[in-house]
Amino acid sequence: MASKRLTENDVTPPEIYRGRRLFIASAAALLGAGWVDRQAFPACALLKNPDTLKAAGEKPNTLEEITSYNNYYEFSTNKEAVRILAQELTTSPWNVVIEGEVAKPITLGIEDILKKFPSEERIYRLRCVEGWSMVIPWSGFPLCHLIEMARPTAQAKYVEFVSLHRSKEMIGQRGGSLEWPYREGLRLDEAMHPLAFVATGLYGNTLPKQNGAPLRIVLPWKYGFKSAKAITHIRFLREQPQTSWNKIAPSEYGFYGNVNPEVPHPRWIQKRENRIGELRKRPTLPFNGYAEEVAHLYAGIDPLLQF
Amino acid sequence: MFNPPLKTWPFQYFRLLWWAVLMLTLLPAIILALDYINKNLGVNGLETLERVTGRWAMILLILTLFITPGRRMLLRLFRRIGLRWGKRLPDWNFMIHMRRMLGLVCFFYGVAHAGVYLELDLSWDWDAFADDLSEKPYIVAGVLSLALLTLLAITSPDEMIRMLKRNWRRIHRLIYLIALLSIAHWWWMSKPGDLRSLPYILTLLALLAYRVIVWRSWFSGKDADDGMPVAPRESPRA
Repeated sequence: MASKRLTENDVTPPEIYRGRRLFIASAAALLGAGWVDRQAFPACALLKNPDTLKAAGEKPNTLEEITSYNNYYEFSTNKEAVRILAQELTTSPWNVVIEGEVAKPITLGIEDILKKFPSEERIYRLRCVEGWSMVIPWSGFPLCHLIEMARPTAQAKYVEFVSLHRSKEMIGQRGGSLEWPYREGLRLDEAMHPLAFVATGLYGNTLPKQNGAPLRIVLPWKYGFKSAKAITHIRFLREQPQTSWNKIAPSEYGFYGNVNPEVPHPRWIQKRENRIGELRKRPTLPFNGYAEEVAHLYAGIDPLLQF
Repeated sequence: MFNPPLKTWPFQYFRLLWWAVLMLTLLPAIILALDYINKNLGVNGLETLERVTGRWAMILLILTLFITPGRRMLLRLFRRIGLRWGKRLPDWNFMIHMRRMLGLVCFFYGVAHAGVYLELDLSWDWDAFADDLSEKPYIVAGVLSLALLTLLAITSPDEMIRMLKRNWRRIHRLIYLIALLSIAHWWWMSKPGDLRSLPYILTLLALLAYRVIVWRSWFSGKDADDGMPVAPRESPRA
């Protein structure tokens, strides 16, 4: 499968987009239009090291492994049962509502999304808060592209992702431990980070239902629970949203959910991880090995207090 | 090994029965070992090794603690059925002579469980082990549980029973503490919403509750059976 990778040429240099925005803003001001925000909204940034996108030196897990061991409470708390139960899900038609602090709320069909955003491949490590990990070749597009399109207002400080609530097809939603729909969220600058990704495919094919079809968020430096699956709503907010796991166990699951071997969890050991396909545990890396790219986002934040 | 007081079939064929039960309880370990060799442990092999050994240690603990109430339950059942054999409590004494073997198989699974943790999870890193102990109460409970079970395994041979005399019973009452620690170990490590440990935990709690009920009635003098091991030399009670 041919994979498209980001090169320098694919990204508009910051001087140019800032210039463009300044031009648009001044033009709008000139026209007296209120719809364009005066504060220039940053576009997708560049990664310090583009090799980060390939999980260099790591062997991706097999399709079989990735599609038969899934943490997806909407279907079951048993990771091996999700593969079967998730087949009940209807993923077409599928709409994603983009609303809240945006220039103009919009509802996009999954076909529009697939058409609008060219697909690229990213091989990311995924570290589950439960202590296991995988290396997964996703396909999809950077989240920042979608955010740029949504045009959040200057008031937007957070993004909330809401997953599908359809207990008719999602058997785990009939009772159970979480409040439905599943909600996750990010600070807007985290969401704009070039590693934040919207996955619509796996191993070059359509995303399987057990992996969050038709589209899900992937945040490789955070524990898996931050990467919401089967997204139906993307909301831009002024205040930090209440996220699902944080709501039921705030002492166990913080808003950030950054992979950190030094922040203990009451149940799972975070210093080591169980890479699927290997029997022996390996050490867990800060920010799941993406520290070089993302650590600056959390400068001045004590990870033991805000984890 | 022992002198059956009655010439009924479980006693005549006791050796055969003993071996059959031993093989049956070791079968999961044999299957697990074969799966390990054939790389057939499923997607998360480490988890499979930890779970299967832990679960079977629990099942063997349940079987061990089932002997005392099980004997009485079978007695009532056979009295109701009205067969010639099985109407007297000593008819079921052969079960008691299975208990040591069941307890030792439980110990075997416990050691295998800990071995998987030390070898594959910790890679024998004692600093990491110290961190785990300070961080995770369920690991403390598991370690304590296995340490006590080791004490029971060491004191299980006939010579030790003879040597320790009355103390042997006192020591082996620790099995109730081991059961509680094992329940805590499994429950604390289970994630919310995952109720797969519940059937085992509830069974163990029921078996412990039986002891409490028996002891209470024992203290009030209604029933002389304190649920403790019946030595072969004791006179049979109907």
